[in-house]
Amino acid sequence: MDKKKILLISQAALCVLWVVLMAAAVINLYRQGIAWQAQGHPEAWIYTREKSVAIILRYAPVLALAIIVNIISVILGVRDENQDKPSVLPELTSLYKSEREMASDLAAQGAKKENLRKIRAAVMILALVFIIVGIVNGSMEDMLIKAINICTECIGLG
Amino acid sequence: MDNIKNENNSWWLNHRPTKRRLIQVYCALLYNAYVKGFIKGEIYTGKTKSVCVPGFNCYSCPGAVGACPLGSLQNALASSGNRIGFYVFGIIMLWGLMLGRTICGWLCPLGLVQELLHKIPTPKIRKSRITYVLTYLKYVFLVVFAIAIPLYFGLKEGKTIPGFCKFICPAGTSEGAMGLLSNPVNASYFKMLNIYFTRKFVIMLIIGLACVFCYRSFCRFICPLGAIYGMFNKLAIIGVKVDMDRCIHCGACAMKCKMDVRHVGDHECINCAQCMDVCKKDAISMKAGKITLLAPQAGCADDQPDSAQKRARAGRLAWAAAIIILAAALLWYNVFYQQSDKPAASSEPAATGTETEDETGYAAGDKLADFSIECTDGSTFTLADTRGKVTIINLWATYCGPCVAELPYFDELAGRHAGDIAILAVHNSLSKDDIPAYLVQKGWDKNNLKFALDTKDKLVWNIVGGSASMPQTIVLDRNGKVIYNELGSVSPELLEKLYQDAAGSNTGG
Repeated sequence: MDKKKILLISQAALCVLWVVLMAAAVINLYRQGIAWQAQGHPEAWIYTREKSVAIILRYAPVLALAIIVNIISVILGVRDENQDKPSVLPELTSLYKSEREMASDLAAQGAKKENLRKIRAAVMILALVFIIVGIVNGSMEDMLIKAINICTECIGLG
Repeated sequence: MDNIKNENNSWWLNHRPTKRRLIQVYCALLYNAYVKGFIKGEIYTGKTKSVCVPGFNCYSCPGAVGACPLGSLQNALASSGNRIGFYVFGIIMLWGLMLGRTICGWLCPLGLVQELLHKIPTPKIRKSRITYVLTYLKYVFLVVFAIAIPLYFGLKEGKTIPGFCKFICPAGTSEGAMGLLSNPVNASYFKMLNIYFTRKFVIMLIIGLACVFCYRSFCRFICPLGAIYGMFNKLAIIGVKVDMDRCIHCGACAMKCKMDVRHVGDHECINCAQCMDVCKKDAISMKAGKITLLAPQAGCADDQPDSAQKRARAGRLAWAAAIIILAAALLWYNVFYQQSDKPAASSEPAATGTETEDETGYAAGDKLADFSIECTDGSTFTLADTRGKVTIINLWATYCGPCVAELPYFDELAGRHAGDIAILAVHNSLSKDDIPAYLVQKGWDKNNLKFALDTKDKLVWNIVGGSASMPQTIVLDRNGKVIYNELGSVSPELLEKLYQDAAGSNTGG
């Protein structure tokens, strides 16, 4: 197999491996914590800083290897060349042409532009009215209150 | 030697940051200009958070100086029963009208992260019929998680449940949760981590991995904000426009695009303007109304002879202004701005506190400073009067879903140990809601708890070491000593255990 392909596949495998290991470790830690809490220790912590750092350190070599392969690939200019090739979806081009041809009809274009201007003006006025009404009815302050007070569950804490 | 030089030049030419990349980095910095927050492990609580930034940026990120439009939208929908969130709707409409999905392509920090992840050299999954169909998933996420869940729980149960933030958002996990957890100051936050963190952390990993293989996976298939801005894309004042007089309908732009566009400027187009490079007829340009922001090398049809020079000069001026704004923002937020809501008590909250006799503070082992506060039922709660009983103080807010969910556990506990326990639930002083009416609506006005609204100067919050995060529970033993002071939800089992510990503890004093 071509060396470039080997590098690409190794990098992909390392990325997948690191994610799988990290996800498994976190799930495992959670299960252990829940089992311990169920054994009459409701105050026990499921996660701790030490346990989390230990997981990160345990799988750091995989991440480091992925970074090294990444650096080598960048230096050697290795990348999947296919990603730059144009997508060849027959229905995409046919649809593109028909829509564009319709759009290029000058008469239709003029009417469309005029409509667009009207809609833009209407939306702009509506948006400004909403903002002013929002400031008056207190929804701006509502937003500020929620933005400066963290709902711990909502950001994935608990 | 010359060859090596040329090679080096070409490597740099291939890898140097584009204007778009610089603007993405700039926006990420500007949205998160409160760098001090990362160092201190706290979030910014100033007034600029009453403005939504256009891109996806969690407002619980320690650096965030603006609000996340999607988080704000969900909270506004959840509060629809009390007040319609016109302000958030108006701001989102304004951003959508002005920029459409240009926000996704140029101004979104999460978009930047996705693009950087996609730079990792691996085999890539290109767009196909399958990815095209998958793009409609984001509308499902928008309707179910960002609209239906907050509306349903807000109107039916009076709970604020921002479905997308709570169950999916990788920005909340990476910027908010990880941003706070990574600071050793917040080591006690680990206590809170439960199934929500586990689930969202795994989701974040999966989305990150998907972005490595598939260009902007989150943006294309999941992002509800992208779905909203996509609806405005054709209306947007700023965006990529096609000169129909020059266009030969070859479709090269759509075929080259990594997003699932059918044609330039449709609801999937993020206006990144990369298609400008492949258009053989130079028909594509980036415009703000009639003003050309980015033009192909041959220029636009309506260009004057000196248009290119004018554009270059305007570009330099815009960069200079942008740098001055960023420098001013960094200076203001990190040097001149002082966060005003620091807890006034003497010691930091910790799982294991000092055992110093009679030290006033809020850490375990300390004695809380005495206070009196008027309750919603008209009575007065005085801390000194609860000596001899186990006392629990809970910090909550109507708009905090987990806070509302756990209050019945406190009521049950108070019912089980009536006469031997005093529980005070203190609502955050920042509220536009009618708290007594809310308590009546929930039927909590007749339960076993005492409710109070904290004073404007945050009397109780300061005494117990309350922060910008909620819920928080403080348990005092019969002598008024703190035995527990933690952020995060509590289970009925934990509450019972804490009661038993407090009732049995003999700390003297």
